[in-house]
Amino acid sequence: MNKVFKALSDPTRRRVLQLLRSGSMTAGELAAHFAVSGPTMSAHFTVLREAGLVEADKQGRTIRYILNLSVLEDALLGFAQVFGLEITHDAELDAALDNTEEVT
Amino acid sequence: MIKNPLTIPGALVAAGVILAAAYGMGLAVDRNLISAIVAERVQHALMGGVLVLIGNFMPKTGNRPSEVCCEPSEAHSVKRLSGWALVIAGFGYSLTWLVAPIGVAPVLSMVLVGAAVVVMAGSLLIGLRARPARQ
Repeated sequence: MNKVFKALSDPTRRRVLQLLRSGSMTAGELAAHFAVSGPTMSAHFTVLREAGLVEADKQGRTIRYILNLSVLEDALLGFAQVFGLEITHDAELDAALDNTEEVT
Repeated sequence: MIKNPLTIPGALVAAGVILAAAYGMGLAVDRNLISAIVAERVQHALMGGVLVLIGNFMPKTGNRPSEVCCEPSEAHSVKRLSGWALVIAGFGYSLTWLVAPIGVAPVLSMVLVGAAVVVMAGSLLIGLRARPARQ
């Protein structure tokens, strides 16, 4: 549950989930909505996937993301959007970004 | 950690809790610790809780294209609506059995569950009309 709260604490990730409500999208289609670098978006996707809020379906070289929220998670997302659930320092995202940089 | 009742271990845990509660209630009634009506109310409230759990996890099952009949996001929308309907009905079912007069509770609770079933059936019909999954 902690992973879910962490995933929902970031406005970018919440926006990703909102976008996925209208249908499944590829990583590229999602990234086009944000003015952030590819590795940062990739780290956001990793956090969402690890929290079980999205499912990734690999089709050839593209990854298609599908929303995978339970009713409780859906309600939490709505709550976070209305009241804001932001934290100043996202250690998990930082760690994910560090890993991304190590790989590249 | 709450188990997903839509898996075999989760279903076994949910069934075990219901059976253990029924047995416990029976013992409590036999020993005159609680009345038969209170036992019936608690038992039904627990069953409402199971409906809430099933509804909660319903949207998380089978979202991959190979597991659904139609476009995954459309399938998720159907399950999302069904899940919400079942969660609300489950809460209503529990609340009805906990607070409504005993003469009204059986009918009112079944009306709530019936309404959820109608919503679920409606959303399923809409989902079946959706375009087939991408190949």
